[in-house]
Amino acid sequence: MKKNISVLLFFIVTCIVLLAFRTVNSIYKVTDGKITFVSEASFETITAFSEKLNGMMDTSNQEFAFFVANKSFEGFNGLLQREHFNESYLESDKNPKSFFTGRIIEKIIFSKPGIFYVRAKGLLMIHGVEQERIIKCVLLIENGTIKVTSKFSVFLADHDINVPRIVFEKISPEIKIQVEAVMHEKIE
Amino acid sequence: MNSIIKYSILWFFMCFLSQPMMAQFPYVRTIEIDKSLQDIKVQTIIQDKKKLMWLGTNKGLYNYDGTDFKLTPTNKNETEIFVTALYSDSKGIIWVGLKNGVILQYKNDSLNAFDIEEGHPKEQITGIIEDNNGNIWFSTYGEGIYVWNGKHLFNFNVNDDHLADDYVYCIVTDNNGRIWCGTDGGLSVCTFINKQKKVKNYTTQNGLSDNIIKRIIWDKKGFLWFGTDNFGIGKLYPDSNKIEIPDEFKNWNQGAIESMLLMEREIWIGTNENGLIDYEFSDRKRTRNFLGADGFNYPGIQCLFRDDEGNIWIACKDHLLQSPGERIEFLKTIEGKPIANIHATLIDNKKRLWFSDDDGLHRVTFNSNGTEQSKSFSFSELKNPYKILTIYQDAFGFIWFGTFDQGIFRMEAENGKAIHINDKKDLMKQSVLSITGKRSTIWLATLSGAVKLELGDDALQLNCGMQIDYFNSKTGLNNNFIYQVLLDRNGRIWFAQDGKGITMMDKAGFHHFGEKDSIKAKTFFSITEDRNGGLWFASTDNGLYRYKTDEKKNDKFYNYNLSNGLPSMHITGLCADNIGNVIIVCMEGIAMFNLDKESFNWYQKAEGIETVDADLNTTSLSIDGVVWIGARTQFIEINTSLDKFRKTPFLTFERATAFLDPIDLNNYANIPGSKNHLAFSYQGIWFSNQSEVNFQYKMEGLNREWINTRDRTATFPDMKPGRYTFRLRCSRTNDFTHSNEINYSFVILNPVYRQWWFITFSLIALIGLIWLFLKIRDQRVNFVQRLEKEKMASQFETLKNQVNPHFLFNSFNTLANIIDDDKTKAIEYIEKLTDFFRQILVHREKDLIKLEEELEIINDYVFLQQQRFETALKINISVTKEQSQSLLIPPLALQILVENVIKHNSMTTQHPLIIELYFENEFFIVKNNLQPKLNKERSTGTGLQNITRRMQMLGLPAIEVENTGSHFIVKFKLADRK
Repeated sequence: MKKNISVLLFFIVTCIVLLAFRTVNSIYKVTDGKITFVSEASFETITAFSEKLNGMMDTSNQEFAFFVANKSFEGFNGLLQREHFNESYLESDKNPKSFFTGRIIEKIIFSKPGIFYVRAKGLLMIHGVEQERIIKCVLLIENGTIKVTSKFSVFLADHDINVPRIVFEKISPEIKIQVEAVMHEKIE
Repeated sequence: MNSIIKYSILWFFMCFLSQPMMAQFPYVRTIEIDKSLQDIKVQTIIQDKKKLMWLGTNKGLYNYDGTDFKLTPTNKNETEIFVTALYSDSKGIIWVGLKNGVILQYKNDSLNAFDIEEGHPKEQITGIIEDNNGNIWFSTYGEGIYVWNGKHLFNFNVNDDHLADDYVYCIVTDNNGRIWCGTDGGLSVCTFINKQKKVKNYTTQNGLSDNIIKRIIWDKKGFLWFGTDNFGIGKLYPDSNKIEIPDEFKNWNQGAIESMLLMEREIWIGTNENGLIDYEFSDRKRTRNFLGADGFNYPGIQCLFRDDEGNIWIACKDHLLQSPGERIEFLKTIEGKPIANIHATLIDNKKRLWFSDDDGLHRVTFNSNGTEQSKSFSFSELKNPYKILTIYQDAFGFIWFGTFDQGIFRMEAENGKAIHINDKKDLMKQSVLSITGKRSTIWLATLSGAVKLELGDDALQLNCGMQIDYFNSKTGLNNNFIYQVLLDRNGRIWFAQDGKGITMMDKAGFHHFGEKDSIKAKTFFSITEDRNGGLWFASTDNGLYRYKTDEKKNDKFYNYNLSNGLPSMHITGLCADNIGNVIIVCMEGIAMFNLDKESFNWYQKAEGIETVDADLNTTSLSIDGVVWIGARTQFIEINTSLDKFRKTPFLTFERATAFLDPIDLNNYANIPGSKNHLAFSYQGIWFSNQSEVNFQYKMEGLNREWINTRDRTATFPDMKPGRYTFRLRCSRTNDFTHSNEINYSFVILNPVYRQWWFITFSLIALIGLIWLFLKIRDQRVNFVQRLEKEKMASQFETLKNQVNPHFLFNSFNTLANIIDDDKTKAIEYIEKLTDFFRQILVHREKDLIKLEEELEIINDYVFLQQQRFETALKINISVTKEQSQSLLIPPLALQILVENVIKHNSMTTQHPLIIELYFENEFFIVKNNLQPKLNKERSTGTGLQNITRRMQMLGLPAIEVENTGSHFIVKFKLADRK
């Protein structure tokens, strides 16, 4: 719980710092973000998504922060499942948000339009447990917008999400996640 | 023009001045790479578990088995495989890092991309290593380092993790699982335990000489050596964080270090521009630059690697070199002067080299910068020309040397002051072949026997008192020509004699060894005592003799020659080191007998020894165990204690096939009989000299003897079913008794037709078939017999009926009536009667006749009966001509039925008997109105039965009999002609 707060604090401080030290037009903000996850177990496939993915990126130092409210996920195979997701697995009251904050490894010139295959290195926090991750992303840079797409997977065990033995066949230990976000230059 | 000459002269002097006089070098040879691979540049080298060498090059990954360079094909559509890092991990996977950041894995015989979700780095992979937790670490030039824990890839860099720098040159692990990496910004120590990263840095602020650390090597003693970009090498003691720069590197001007190789006593440093530099850090400290020495002509050294045979692989920018390293070195010039005709060699107690050549006696001192200093000694007592045949240092530090014709001298080692030893018996005029001794006793081997000198109490004085005794053929020796005297540890004195074998003197007196001890050789010229107290004798023509105590505590001589592994019979000297080797100096090379392994090893061309051709007393053991051999034109220095490497070729199976199908050599195989053509290919890896590897194989179950070959394949066509074991061994010499063996057992199965189950099954099936055949034949025979019997019975019945007197009587009676009334009718009657009987006779033999024929019989019969009953008997036959011709019936069947009808029924004109014969569907029907006779005629009842049985046997359905009360109906099927 303490860690959770510290990460939140870190995030807030990062945001403040980003805002404070940004150079002109160096901050991009998510205007349209969607995150989808799929659990493919032998008995059941669960798909859920949230269109409330939020985040920003500072192109001057290539740092970024993305987050999504856990309760904003929709889909699932029924309301009960969604309730379980929020109450039993992610404990959304305790951990309302999931984060990914860090920096892009490759050096990118954001003024140049094009497609860039990059790796984002950062801390992924889900269920209040943070893990350092390197995540492959594709950046499509056009005039004033950055389109980010990424596919990666999350192991439940890495984030201390315990699945009861009974539902083992219904929930995959490896959750596949897909992110699509459009970022725009933040105009004051 | 003038200036060119001026500059040339200046340049010449510069070279002369800058190049110190230095002459001792290891041997190096160029590995011949295929012409097609010429522009390939080797970047990195490793050896895998099967001892194959892997070369990472700018044009892909190659492996080398000592004979061929093979390019490893890749499944990945990499445009360019520029290998910059290689590592063979504990699971046998070979990790390959490329210049473009891509990581590949070589496993299960194929090279594939390392499949990770995180993606590959984009900058050059500079190093790969596995820590003791099984994590694989990658260093990159620009992205810091990565670690893969089997699941995820993690990154350490400057910004997030405080790595010293993102530009990492090298990566090594220590025993505690820590990772040490050299970067552009210092040295970083990283740990990754339970996903927790820790980084500690060493920079110039901690005392590093340079922040750019190009190479790191761990020393077994618990510290690490680092090589820098600009300031040479240094030592870091991690426990105390102490950094130490050796004096030799305080004024480093050789530029960037590209590679480092740590040996027992030396570090080899590959530089970018100044070739290979050797730093000897043992008690003898010196640095040498090999650039310019024989074979070391390449300034840019890319990488250094030592294989498990002790060969050092040197990848230069355009060449691949190999060297035996610190184990053997050569001294070819002294102070720039070439060496020639060495007659005697000695390493004194200060590790100085003493030798004699045609010019006299010389003493060589080695300096710490790799140069040497020589001092020559001349003596007024010695007349020119002279020859010093042997040099010896006594327990008091004095140098003795024996000459040809002029006796011996004792001399002070430092200042060269000498005395010529003389006595009443003209020792001054003796030819001294060798000198030996123990404490104050000195023994001389001369051409007129052996001489013993017992030094007096003033032995520390140059001119001390001494007692001189002579031993010759008159006093117990066999011969006056003594080549060498040896004092063994048991106080015995051994004499090597010319032409008269070996003589030993102990307290009991003289003992002679010769033919009675199964010693064939006559002339011995050298003796040595090994670590275990065994004695070795070199003969001129019969190899080596070894005097050893066997298990039964008997002392015995053993002979060694070519057949038991001695590489050469041309022995010139013997010497034993104190770690269990006997060094045998031969004409063609230097052999060593290892007492622990009881086998010979052999230094030859691969180690740079072409011809030795040494004089008798030119082998000397220094106090630190180094053997010096004065060869014709060079000194050879052999450090036997540094040679702890594999001495035999590493034998492995490459592949085995049965009719081109691969066999899994890890498992026992049952090979089908149809695939009985076997081929084995194997390799005996010996990079030192692949051409000297011999193989020997034996197919247990097929061959009785071992088969010698140099081929790397053995094929066995058309093998018979049975159990086999393919045994294989290899050796560098003709002696295979000490070589390792590998083998593979398998079974060639019987072909299917020789399997027991197949034979049993076939037999059962055959028996079954015969039984079935017999049974069917039996049934058939029975059937035919029964049919015959029934036919006979029916014929008999019919005949019996026809010759029934009643019938005849009736017939004749009728005839008698007609004869009077109508003669022509009577004739007709007789004709019909005859016809009837003839037809019975014609058809009775047959099984079936045409219905037409049967109806003819019926017509005749009915005609005969109608003459008697007239209109009282009526018969209606309604059968088409087609039916009567196509259908068949057992003969006389109808006749019997009709006769039965007539027999059992009464008939009158008012109540005529009407017999109808017609077809109803498929059935043929014989129907009559029922008017039973009052007095029944005797009936045998055989008629119907007979017909039924005959029809059954012919495969026709049984006849059906129906009595409706008014009619009697017989129904049956006829056989079709088809």
